[in-house]
Amino acid sequence: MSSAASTSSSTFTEMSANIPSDIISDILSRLPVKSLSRFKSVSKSMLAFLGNPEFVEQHLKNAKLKNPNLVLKLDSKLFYVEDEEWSKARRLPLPFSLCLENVEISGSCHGILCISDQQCNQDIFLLNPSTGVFKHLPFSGFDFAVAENSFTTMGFGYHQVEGDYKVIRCVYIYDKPFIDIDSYECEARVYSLKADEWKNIGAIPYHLGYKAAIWLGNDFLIWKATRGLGRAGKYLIVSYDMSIEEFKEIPQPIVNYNNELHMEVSVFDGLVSTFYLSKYDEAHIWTMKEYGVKDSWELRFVIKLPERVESYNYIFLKPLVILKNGEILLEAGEKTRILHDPKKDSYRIINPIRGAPRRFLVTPIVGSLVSPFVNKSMAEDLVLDTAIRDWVLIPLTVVMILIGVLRYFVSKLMRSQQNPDVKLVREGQVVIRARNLRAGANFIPAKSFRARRAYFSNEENGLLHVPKGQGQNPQAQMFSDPNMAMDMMKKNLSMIIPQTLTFAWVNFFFSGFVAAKIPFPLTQRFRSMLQNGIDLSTVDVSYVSSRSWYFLNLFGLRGLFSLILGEENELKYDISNAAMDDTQRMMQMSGFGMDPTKEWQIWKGVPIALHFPKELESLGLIVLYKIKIKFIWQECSLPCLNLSAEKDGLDIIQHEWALPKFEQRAEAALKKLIN
Amino acid sequence: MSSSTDSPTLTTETTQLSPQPDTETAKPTKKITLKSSDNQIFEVEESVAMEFATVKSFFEDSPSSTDIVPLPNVTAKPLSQVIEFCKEQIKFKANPDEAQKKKYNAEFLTEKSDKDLVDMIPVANYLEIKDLLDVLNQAVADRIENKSVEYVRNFFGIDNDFTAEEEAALRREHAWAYEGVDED
Repeated sequence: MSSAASTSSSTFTEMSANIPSDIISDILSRLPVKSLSRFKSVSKSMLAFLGNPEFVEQHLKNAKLKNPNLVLKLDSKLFYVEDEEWSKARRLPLPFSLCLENVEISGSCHGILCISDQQCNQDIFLLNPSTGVFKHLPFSGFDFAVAENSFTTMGFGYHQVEGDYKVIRCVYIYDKPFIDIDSYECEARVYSLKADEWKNIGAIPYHLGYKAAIWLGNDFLIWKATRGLGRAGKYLIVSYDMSIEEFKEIPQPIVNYNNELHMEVSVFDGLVSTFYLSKYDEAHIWTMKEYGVKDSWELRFVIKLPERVESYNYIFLKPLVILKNGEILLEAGEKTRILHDPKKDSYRIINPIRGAPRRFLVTPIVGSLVSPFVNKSMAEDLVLDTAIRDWVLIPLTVVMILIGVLRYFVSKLMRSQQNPDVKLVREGQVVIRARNLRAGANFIPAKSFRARRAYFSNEENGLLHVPKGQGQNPQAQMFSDPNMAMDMMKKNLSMIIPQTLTFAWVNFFFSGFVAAKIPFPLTQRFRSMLQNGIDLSTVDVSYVSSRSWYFLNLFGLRGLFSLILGEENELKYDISNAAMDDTQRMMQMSGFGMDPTKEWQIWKGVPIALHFPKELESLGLIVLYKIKIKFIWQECSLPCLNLSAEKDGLDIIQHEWALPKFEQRAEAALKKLIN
Repeated sequence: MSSSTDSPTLTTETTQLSPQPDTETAKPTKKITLKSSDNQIFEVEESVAMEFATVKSFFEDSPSSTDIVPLPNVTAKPLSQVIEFCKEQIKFKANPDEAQKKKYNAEFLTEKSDKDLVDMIPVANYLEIKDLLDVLNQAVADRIENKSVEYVRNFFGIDNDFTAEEEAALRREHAWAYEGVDED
């Protein structure tokens, strides 16, 4: 019976040689459940595929677009009409009918019927009539004995936010004579399919009607209810919000019918609706366009009953569902069903259904593959062992921090003392002076500027003048100083070796763990970032694998290091930065021969998002470097120590005396002083 | 094969199609050459070729290319059928007539054999023709709805990997689903 539920683990391997799986999935999702049940025996992969929750959902979506199937009920027998033309019915085998004195349909949603005992609704079953899969709910104990003098009512719906099916059972104890209907003791319990248990939600401030709730298609269930004096009082529409677990009254339309009316609550197109039946053979259907807004009530249909329907009692007239072609299916007692076309204002009695009894009551239902079992996809029932937290998550984090600190000190130790080269320092100073001159050129008279410029850049012995052929390019410079290259190598080793070792260590001991869960939902795009090492599409994205946790730490601890090691150290010795600015120079040195700007162009395309490709394992950490190098080019603001460049800058500068007639003004001022 | 037979009709169509809003209206008579995997050459209207999202993106990536578009995953027969379908759809796009379109689609599909359909699906999928894929999928769904398990296995080319007992058990469990199955 439960084959559909047990095979929910899916294989996405290609089923067919010539057609891709997603197309087969699309084709199959258009088929009725009957065909799909038959095709379960096509092959093992097909059987697994048809039980896949994603496929079930896709199929449900398509099934909702079709006309509903019908469940016919005669006393305790159920019949099922599952062809689109409603031409034939089959008896539904009810394996549990032995337990029930009276079979009562207490709501339906997503193709699942809630079936209970009419009397006190103690045994409750969820049944998918299309697949025959059913579940017997656990007993919902109440704080008081539910006995003869009690009244129960039910509700069944799907809570979208939690992705859970809920059953509500309310019990009122009629243990004293009637004074005020609110005086009866009452208790409500809500069953959650996921938790597989009942929860007491206390008393309800309304007296719900005996008819089971109608699911609105969202978070709400609605009942017809009464309050206060009950029979004498007015009927109310009461909704139960599954999100906040609260009962609330919905305002009713302002109707002005003089004659006595019979009001019923229903759902049309997913909107709360009421219909009013008058003694004059008319039904008025109102719908509430915007949930809970009184002004949005709208009179949708006025249905006059044709005279041919003789054996009809207005109380039994019941609009059931709007079909895809716009027709409304009306039930007029147990014997007659009418299709009403509001556009043409026509009526027709639906064709007799082969195999159906002479009289029955109809419940429209979607033909779906949904099973009344908890979706066994791993996302829902993944329990994170506290041992994983203690032995994977925390050690990993601590080790990453310690390694970062250790690396800082190691690289500090290994950094050899560099003896400043006199020539280099002098050149640097000259450049700075030249730059100052350039900046302040306009504040000295033209003559002074020219003299200074000549001092820096004359062709014979100007300080900035570099004779041709003597210019050193930085590459050569680096080669000339072996210490510098050595230093870089050392720093790089201090970077690469621990990195490689930790990665190997993490991979060896901690691969394959789901280490943590992020407390908010994420989109599928984050999967590659957070679930590196777990190749399961069914795991919810908010779970973080141990390997991804390692990478997150690797990149995310920068801020922490700056806290521990101090702000200025952070920039230089931060795990990633330390390596990167050397790597960049190394690359230049090793004659990659790339134009830096070009390189920058190339790596601009490297996403900073932590995307860890497979090559990472084989290529080591090259990718990390690439990402980091990107930053270098951004942050590269080192003073350009190139003499000739500075000289060119000085040569082209336009001198413009910023203080014209300064001399005259000075003279005037001095004269004034003397006088 | 069809390129020679199609060319006379194409010239009459161009006049109809020219007022259609198209990004490349400058050259309404531009032809695009498609080459199937078995080296058949198809010359189609640009507007028809633009129905194929794959071909469209090919030209968006390299707008200046006038070369033959190679379609390595597509053989000639289904491609000619797909082109035939898309030509008609463009006419319906120009002057929408839902009833006529439905009638044409139904006719187009009923005359195709199961094999034709199965061959066309990967082509429509590869060329990313959403409308056609939708029509084809629905057609296949309608065809197999009341068919036997064996028919479906043959249709999709799926091998039965159940043992006899396993299959018998599945059939017993879903016995009601085997009532009223059409003859193959």
